[in-house]
Amino acid sequence: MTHITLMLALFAVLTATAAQAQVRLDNTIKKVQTFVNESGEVQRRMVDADSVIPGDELQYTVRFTNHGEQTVDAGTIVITDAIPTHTEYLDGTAFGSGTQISFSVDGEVFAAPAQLLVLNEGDEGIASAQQYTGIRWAFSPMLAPGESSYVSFNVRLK
Amino acid sequence: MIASKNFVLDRRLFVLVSLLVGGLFDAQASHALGTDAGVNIQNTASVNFEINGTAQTPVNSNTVQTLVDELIDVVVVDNNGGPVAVSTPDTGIILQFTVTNNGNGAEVFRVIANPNVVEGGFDPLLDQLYLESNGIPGLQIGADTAYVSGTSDPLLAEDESLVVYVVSNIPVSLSQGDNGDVELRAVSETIITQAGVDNPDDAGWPTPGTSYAGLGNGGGDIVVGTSHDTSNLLMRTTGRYQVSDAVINVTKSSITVLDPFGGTTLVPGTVITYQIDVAVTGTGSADGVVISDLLPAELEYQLNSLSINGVAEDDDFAPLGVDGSGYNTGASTVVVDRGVVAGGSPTIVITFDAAIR
Repeated sequence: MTHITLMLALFAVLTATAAQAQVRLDNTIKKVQTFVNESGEVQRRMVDADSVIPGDELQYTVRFTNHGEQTVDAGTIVITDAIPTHTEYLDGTAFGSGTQISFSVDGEVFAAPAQLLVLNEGDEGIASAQQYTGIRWAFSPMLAPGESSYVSFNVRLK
Repeated sequence: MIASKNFVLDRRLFVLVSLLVGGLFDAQASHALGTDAGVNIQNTASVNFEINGTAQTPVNSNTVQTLVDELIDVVVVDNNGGPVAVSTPDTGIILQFTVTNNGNGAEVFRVIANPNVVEGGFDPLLDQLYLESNGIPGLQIGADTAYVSGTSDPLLAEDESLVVYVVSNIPVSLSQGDNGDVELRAVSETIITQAGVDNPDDAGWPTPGTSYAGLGNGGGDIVVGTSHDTSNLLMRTTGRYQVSDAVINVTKSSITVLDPFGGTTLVPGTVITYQIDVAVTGTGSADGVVISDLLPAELEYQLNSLSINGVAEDDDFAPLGVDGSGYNTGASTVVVDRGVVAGGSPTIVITFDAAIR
């Protein structure tokens, strides 16, 4: 119940601030499907992800847009997303033009992959992509009114 | 361990030879898939930003969500480790299988045994199926549950396994070596009711990816998994009866290695002691059991090193010696003649030495 209450509270905050927010986020989810084309080549396409099964690859895309009348300062836009529960991040899929991407294994400390250390059976080592719990994109440019860009990442349902 | 391939079992030998190589059990029972059917996968992103050097209130995205469908996957494994020896006629012979729900939701499966397998051989006479239910390995008639397909079909939770016993009788007048197969399949009740078929050989069998809306655990769809792919049907397998009064298992190993310097390197002059274990199982006897081990050119038999069950055996054999066991110099072959060996007899242990030339 606590979890549901928290979700409702977040939703309330979201609707309250959306009206004044300079930057708005639009999150979408797609399922990555492989298929064989007429030439016999294996290709990938994005389809709706109303439902999924274990093993499916999903792509989350977060578009961010400046809906305000003032420019957002360069180097200040930071987008944070969690690797959803029951999924694992697919290495190398995080994308964001003009961004510096960092990852987290605890949702608090974000760093480059080589600096993320975890204990694997008592031995300290570099975290694997499957151990990431969060991604952060630091967007370098300024964002003028009306401008937008996007970030994305892929996961696999466990 | 050095395995040998130079065994010959000859003379009037109506037995099945099964060299024990590797594991006996089918390794196709993969681990089950993870996320439970009905789980809602959610995601919300957030953004922090500044305007004119002033941090603004962080903003959350909309929350996207997707529902995990129920995947039907079931794997049937033959637990018998090879053909089960039977006589002709015979009664009450058990084949054992394991059915595992490798899907991500609870599902009812109908278990169906088919003794009329197209591959040939004889048709075993199915007597009764049983489902393991008392937790004691092996079939205990009266304690494990007698089962009729379509009546009280078992509900398996995800990852749950169920041992199924197929008890059959064996017809009369078969020949030694005849095979009789029983195919066991586990079919989801959802497929039976939605597709109207219970056999992958029938028209209308659903291909992997086929989905049935809204029927899954937790309210999602049901999706037919890859274990139903007709090119690789993991949801059914075959067990085999084989008419054979006795089954012989032969294993060979090197038990000691001694080089000329007291060490264990493999150099010319190194003496290797080999051990061959011969076990006969089954209700009958193996007739005329002769074990022959041809030594490759690189190995030189060490005279008078042969022993059988710990008793030294001379190298001569009939007609020169008193028995049929010894070393055939001309053929570079160690020969051990045990004649008739009853099933269940103690394992025959043969050892001899050979030197690397």
